[in-house]
Amino acid sequence: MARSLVQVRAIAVTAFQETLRRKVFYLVAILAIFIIAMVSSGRVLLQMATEAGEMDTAASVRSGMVQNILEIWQFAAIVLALFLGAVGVSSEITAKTIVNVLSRPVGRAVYLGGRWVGVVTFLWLFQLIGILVALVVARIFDVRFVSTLWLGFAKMLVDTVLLSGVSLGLSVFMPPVVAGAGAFLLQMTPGLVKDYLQHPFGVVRILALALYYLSPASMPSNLIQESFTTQLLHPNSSLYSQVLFENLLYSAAVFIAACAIFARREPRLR
Amino acid sequence: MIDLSAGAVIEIEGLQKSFRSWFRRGETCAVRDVSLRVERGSVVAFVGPNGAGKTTTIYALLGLLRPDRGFVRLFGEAAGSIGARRRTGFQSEIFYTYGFKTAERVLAFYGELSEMSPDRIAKAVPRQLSRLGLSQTEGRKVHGFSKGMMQRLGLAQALLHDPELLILDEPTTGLDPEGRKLVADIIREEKERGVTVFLSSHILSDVERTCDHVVILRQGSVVLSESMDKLKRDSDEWEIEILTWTYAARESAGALIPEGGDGSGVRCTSADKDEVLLRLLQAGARIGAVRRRHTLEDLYMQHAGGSSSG
Repeated sequence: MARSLVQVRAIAVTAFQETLRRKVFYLVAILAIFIIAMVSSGRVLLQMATEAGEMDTAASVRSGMVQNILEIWQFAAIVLALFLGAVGVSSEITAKTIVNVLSRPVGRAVYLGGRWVGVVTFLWLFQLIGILVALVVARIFDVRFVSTLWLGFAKMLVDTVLLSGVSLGLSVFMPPVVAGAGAFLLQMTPGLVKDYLQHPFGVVRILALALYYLSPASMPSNLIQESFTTQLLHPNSSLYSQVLFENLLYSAAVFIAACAIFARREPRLR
Repeated sequence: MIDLSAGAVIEIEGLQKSFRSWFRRGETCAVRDVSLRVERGSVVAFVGPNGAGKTTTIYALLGLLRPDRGFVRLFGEAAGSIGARRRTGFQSEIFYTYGFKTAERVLAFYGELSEMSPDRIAKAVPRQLSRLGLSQTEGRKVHGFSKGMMQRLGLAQALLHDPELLILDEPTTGLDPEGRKLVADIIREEKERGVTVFLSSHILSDVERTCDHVVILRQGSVVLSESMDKLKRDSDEWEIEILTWTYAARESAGALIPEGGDGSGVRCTSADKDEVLLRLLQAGARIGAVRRRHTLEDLYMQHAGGSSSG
């Protein structure tokens, strides 16, 4: 067990270092910073509203800025999670570095786990930077929020675990592009099939129900957005926690299934 | 110390492996009905032209590929089992690794994957770097290494955990003569330590220098499996190198001068050798050397030659 943990750590550190050197990371990060900078031009509006004594408008502009930072950064994290998960194994196969790893006494689950841990650690650090910046901005502009924001942060972190895990899991038996797209679609599925759950045709209803339960749980509200309003639509924290927990379990289930498949598959080394 | 009691380290029985192309719906048979047994402590060469199935067989030994038919066992365990991999060191034809790490970090990484303790890694890394002539690379990122240095690093990582079985896939590719000699010396040292070496190569001089047994593979099938001793014993042909010819000597040698050669020697059988030598000396020829013919190359050309692809 201890030996496996050392192996997981070694593989995770390597995956982390590898990710840090990916051009796509810098591209996405720069793009996110650029968009945040563009959106922050709302400061002009804030100044105008403050000078005009429109305090409600000024408060809404201020909270909007913090929300924008969080949402743009989270979108960047989701793009990275899908991409990094999808190429987590395939990049090693393409570079053939996997040969020297799997010729060692390393279990396939240990390998896959190490790659995932490396990617998730990277994504969490990336997200924490965004969260930290948003909190600093909230402090500077005295933006008020309710405690569900912390659950919103937890949701952000769970989302990257889920998306990177699902795309990594799918990538062990499908091309990375399809795996990334598949993971994205899977997360969108509850929203897409919701309207078909009451469809008059039984077959469509059953199909929609099956897809609904096969896909990850969706959060009933936008926790980040609603943390800055005074009234919550679903002020039920235990429901939010349950969704987060279910999605973590979902990620674990996908990972276990991926390990089982990966253990039986030959890496395409030719 | 490695247990040198008799027993096969590698057992391959009726190995068959094909690769299917999904789009073209074609099938390429890379290895067909390969059977071989490698005894503990021996150095076995696996030779054959490109595409003969050498790397496919090696990947099957490591459990990276699963046989379509037949079985592969290492140390009596199924190939690819954690137990078998724990006792095996592998060097790939081209050592693909993480260019952003230094040589020390690369070796430490593979040491951790090989379940070595931190103390053992701390001792083994500088030892192997020094052994492979890479001590001066301290602190340098691997992506700046030359091809030869990468090959040396690849061998260092294979040797790092003192494996009982070394699987080397073209270990001398890209190495200069000094590097090739170093690899040959290391193989000899490892053999003395009791390590079993399975060496894939098509540099026959390296094979002759280091191996006990040779297996020639052609188009996925074993066409020859013989001990080097027997090959040398069975070699009935001798080559007499002539430094200075005389007209009489050339007349005397006659048909013994091989056609298409550079005319610097004659070839004869063991039975004729003494008589031919005597005739040449009497005819005034100056003899440079008398040696057995380079049999492995001939055997290779006889069994594997003419197949450019497998």
